[in-house]
Amino acid sequence: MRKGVLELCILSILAKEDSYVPDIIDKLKNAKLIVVEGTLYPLMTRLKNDGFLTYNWAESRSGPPRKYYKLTQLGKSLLKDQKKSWEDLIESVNKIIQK
Amino acid sequence: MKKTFTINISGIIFHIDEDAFEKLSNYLNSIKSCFNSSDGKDEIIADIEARIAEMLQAKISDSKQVITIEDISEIIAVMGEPEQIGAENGAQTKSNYSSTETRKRLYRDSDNKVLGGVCSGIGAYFNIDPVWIRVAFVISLFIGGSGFLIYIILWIIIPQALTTKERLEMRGEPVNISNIEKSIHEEIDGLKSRLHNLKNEAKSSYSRNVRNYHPRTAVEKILDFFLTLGRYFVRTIAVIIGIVFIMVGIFLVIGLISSFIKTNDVIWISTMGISNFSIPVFLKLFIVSPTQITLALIGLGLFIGIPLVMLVYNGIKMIFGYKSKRRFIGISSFTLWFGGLILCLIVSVSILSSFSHKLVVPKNKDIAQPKNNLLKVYMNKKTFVDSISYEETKFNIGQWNFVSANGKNFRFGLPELRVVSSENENYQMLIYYSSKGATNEEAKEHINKIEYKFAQNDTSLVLDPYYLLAENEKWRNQNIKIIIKVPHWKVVYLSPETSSILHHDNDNFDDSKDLAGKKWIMTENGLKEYYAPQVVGASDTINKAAIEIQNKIKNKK
Repeated sequence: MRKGVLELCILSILAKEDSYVPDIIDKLKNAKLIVVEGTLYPLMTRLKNDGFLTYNWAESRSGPPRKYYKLTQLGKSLLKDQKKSWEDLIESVNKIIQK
Repeated sequence: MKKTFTINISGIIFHIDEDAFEKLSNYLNSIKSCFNSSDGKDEIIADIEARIAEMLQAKISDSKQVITIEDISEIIAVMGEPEQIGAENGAQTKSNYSSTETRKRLYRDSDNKVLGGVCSGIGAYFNIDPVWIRVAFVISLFIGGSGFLIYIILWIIIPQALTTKERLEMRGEPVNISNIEKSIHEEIDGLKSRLHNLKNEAKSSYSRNVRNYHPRTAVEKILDFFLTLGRYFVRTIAVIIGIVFIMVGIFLVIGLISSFIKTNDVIWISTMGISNFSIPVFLKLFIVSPTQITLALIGLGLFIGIPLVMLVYNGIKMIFGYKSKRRFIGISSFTLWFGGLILCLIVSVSILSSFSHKLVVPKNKDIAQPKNNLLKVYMNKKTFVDSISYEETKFNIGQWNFVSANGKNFRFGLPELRVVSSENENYQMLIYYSSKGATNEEAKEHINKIEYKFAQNDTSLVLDPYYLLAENEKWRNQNIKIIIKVPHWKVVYLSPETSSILHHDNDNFDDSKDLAGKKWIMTENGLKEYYAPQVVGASDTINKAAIEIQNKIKNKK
């Protein structure tokens, strides 16, 4: 799984609704992107430390409080950029494939 | 019946089986080592632990209160194996792919290849710079060409690292002290868990999926053992060489730095008894312009210093098995070194140009003709140089000496004394002054600053053993030659002390000491030893020679 693509997926998921890591995993799995949960934690922390994400604590009925991540303004613009470059990439690759 | 532990994960208490506990703590430890150098390490671990606590919470119910090893296996499957997490993480933080399961393997490194990538692969395996392996191979080419054959064989049998996983395996973890310690701990932990597994299997309880790595064959294990042993052996040697490099390098750097310290003397002896050589003062002996001295110092410092610093740097790299991909260190140090070389060359050329013209000025010195046709040549033993105590510093280039005494610097040289035949009936003395300079005029100025003294009384000539240069006079290979001309059939006595400056062109004498301390008579064939007319107790041959000489003298007259 390419780091950049994973990042784009996470950002897109968070753009729709605030989530905590197992939610994100479920959505990735639904989309048949196979990722182990452990990989997401370092990525989330880094995105948060870089200022793209922020989180709120939410009490949980089962277990410790959960971190619900959401996009910051910076994160939204990163998502926009990444979407753009992703579409550009797809377009370019398609051009080559279809030739 | 099973023993259980009570643990606290993220503030929630769990009861957990002993084997499950070991598996979980091993897992958490190996995850921690994955993120060792990540920024938010603690936060990541805390997040993961919180999630594990949540998942464990879901596993327990009123009827099942204890966490079992299967629960842990399931959780690990969801969270991912350390190497899965590490490999993903590796793309982000590099060098952190390390995991308990990664084994180091020998591959050919096609990324850094010169021919087949064999040397760089071996270098990666032993964690030393491939340059050394290449050097070893090139050397072995000259030992019967064996290296060539070995290289071809290795090229054939060693697989090439193609995938990312293989590249990671090729590089493996650096073998350093903390990792050796870690691998020992892991070995013990692994042994423990294997024992547990054996026990559990004997009890026919669980489970094959615990050991999700495929078991290795005995041959593989033995091979692995020897390869690991060899790896540590090579590492040890590399570390020893590295230590030697560092020590030699540091020692020489200290020597170099201290030789750049400006002192009054060229050579100074420190309180520690280490004699030293002061380059600035040495340069000042023959370089006029301070700019040139500075340039020469910078040039020499770079030219000598850079290789020494690189020696230390490479020593450190060898000890810690650290391979830098930073080319700029090599390139910039080479540039600096080359710059130093160029500076040295530029300064040398300009210095050499001030040695380009040689001027020799002969000066006749009037000396009184001695009585009895015997000229005695002595040396002045009461010059200042002889008064300088032994402890004073002294330095010399050829015959030219530099002495520092009583806070003053003296520059002096040893003259050259020759005895030749006179073209007339008189004893004569001629002194050739010579010096080099950028121009003849400059050389002449240097000559004028050479000071040489001698004294004479009725029969003897007393020569100073040294010629002096004026204070602050630069070294331009100043020289003097003293020629004493002795008429035919007249006698000259050379005192024993003259041996220090006496030179001769006559092949009959093996050593200038043969000339000193004796009387000589000038014949058509050069100097012959002179014997007094009556020698009591001398051998017949000497008496015969004496009579012959006396006859010749009489005939001449």
